[in-house]
Amino acid sequence: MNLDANLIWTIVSLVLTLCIFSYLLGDNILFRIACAILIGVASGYLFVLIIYQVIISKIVVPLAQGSFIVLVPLLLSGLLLTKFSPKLAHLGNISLAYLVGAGAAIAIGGALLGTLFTQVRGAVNAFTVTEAGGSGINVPILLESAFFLLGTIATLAYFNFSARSKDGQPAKRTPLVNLFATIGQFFIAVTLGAVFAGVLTSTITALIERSDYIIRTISGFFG
Amino acid sequence: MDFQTIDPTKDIASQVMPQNEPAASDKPPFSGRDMMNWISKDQQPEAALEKAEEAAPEDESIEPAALPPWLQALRPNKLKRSTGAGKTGSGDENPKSPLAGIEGALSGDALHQFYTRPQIYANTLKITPEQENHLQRLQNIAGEARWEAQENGTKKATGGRLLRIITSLLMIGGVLFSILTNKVPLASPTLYPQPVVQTYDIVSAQVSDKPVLIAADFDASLFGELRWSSEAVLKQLIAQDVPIAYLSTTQAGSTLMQQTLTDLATGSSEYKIAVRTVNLGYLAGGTVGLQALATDPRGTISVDANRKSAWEETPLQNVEKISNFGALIVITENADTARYWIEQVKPSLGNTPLLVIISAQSAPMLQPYYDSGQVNGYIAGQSDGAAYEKLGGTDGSASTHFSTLQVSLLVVAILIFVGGMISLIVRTPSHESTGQEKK
Repeated sequence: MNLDANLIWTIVSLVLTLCIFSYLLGDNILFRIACAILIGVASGYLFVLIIYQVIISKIVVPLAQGSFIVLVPLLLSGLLLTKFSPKLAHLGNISLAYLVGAGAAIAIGGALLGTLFTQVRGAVNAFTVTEAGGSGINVPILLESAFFLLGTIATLAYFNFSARSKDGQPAKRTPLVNLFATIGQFFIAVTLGAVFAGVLTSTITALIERSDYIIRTISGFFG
Repeated sequence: MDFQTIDPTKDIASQVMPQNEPAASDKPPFSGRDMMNWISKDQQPEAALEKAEEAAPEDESIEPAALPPWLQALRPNKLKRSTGAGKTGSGDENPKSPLAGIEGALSGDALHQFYTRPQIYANTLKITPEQENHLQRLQNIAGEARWEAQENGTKKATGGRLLRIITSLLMIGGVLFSILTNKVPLASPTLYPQPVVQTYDIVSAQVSDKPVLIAADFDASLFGELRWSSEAVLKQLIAQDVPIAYLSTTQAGSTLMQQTLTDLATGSSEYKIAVRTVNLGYLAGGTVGLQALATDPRGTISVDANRKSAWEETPLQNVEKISNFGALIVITENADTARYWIEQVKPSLGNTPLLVIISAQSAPMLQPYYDSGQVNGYIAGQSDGAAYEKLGGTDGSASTHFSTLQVSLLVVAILIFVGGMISLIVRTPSHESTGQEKK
């Protein structure tokens, strides 16, 4: 194997991978060095990326081409820098207000139209259970849809914490809500179990990928 | 802390309350040894006034000034004694004051006589001998408990580290054994999930004159899993000579995607990576950036990562809006990132399919979007990647290491089961003893 850039980066990757694996023996200096390198490199890379792909591409180049509309975002960005000075910090509120307002509007609009309404419509459409050709009702699909609907309602009921209180008695949920909340616990437990299994699978795949990399690299060194 | 013994046969209140200190109302404020001299001199205003009146005849040697009538008119009041604070109507009543007798002047009375001294409490806790015994006993118990806790903590830390090392060695051993032998006879997937089949159908339908947009929105830490999951899809696109444009809202995404495509295209002599792919680079702004991309892709990304005009390059010449792409493929490990693409970009896609290649950990959160039809297909994790490779009749990294994944999951399942059983056996006696102590 020749001493080229690929070999150097392969060795660096191998060493850093082993440094991270050393955490199995407890917190140590090698693990900390690897973490510090990761943070430093990521920060530096992000800085360069923003300079080249945001500031130069989206501000400097359009300005050079005579597009003065980019002065508006440039001015707003400059106002954000006034946040460093306690005396001028209030000037940055204009930019912050714009950022928060636009961000919140887009996020909420997307969540409503893209998730809430469509999920409700999806739950309703799940009960379209006629057989192909409209000859009859597809009972298994109907049962499955009913089960999903029960899970949705029960999970929502579990997170309903409002209750009525009577004089001299602690606040209690109604028996019906309590029943659905108890069923909801079952669905939540199954969901969390599925998520846990997924996390476990992902991390094991990452372990396999790194182990495979180490084996391939070492076997490459020794022919 | 000082303790004082109380005789329970006598009145406890009289013993607890301080004896030698008079009530605040009986004592003038700011009096005693803690009062400053200049205040104590002015302590008795009435006496001072009397003294001043007595001393007045001594000053008879000084002839009173002949006041003009207008000045005498300013001091019409007879000198009266003040009766309260804030009373200014009669003017300053000190006969020697330059403002004496002037209407509306503030009173010069000593203000300290209108404030009360704060209540003083004793700082000694008075307890009975029985309570003192209880205290001593509690101190002994607490001291022993702390000593036991320290010893148990050291034992637990050592035991925890040992357990962690053993567990890690077992897992790594299982992984290495499976990789090195590569002969573990385990079942390969025979049932194909519906989202994977739909993904395969959509990717197979892509043509060479319509580019595919790939969003490489993943974190570098889980790139290993996502590379294996997406490898077959990317290989298929390259094999079908489909132009690819890719971008990322994370800093490392587009760079890692460029490296992956370069590696995969190396095996294909016909696919010209420099001509058929466009790196659109980093898309800033999060959800706002996605919304802008959905409504006006050309205005949002004017130049590519190499600062060349992105839309004049061959693969993207015919793309005016986001729906002109053949498909949108989002590769991410984060369910929220997938959700942002679905919420912001999907409404602008029209009939263009949206596919997601996602980490196994986020698959449960993506399933509802697939059920509602917002996502046309997805591949979740290595097992789905292996299923996709088998559908296409190819062997990739996901299939090659699928047996290793199964062995590792088996090891983990055994560890969880054994650990649970040991925990059940070991902890039961301690719980029982705790319960008995409580009784």
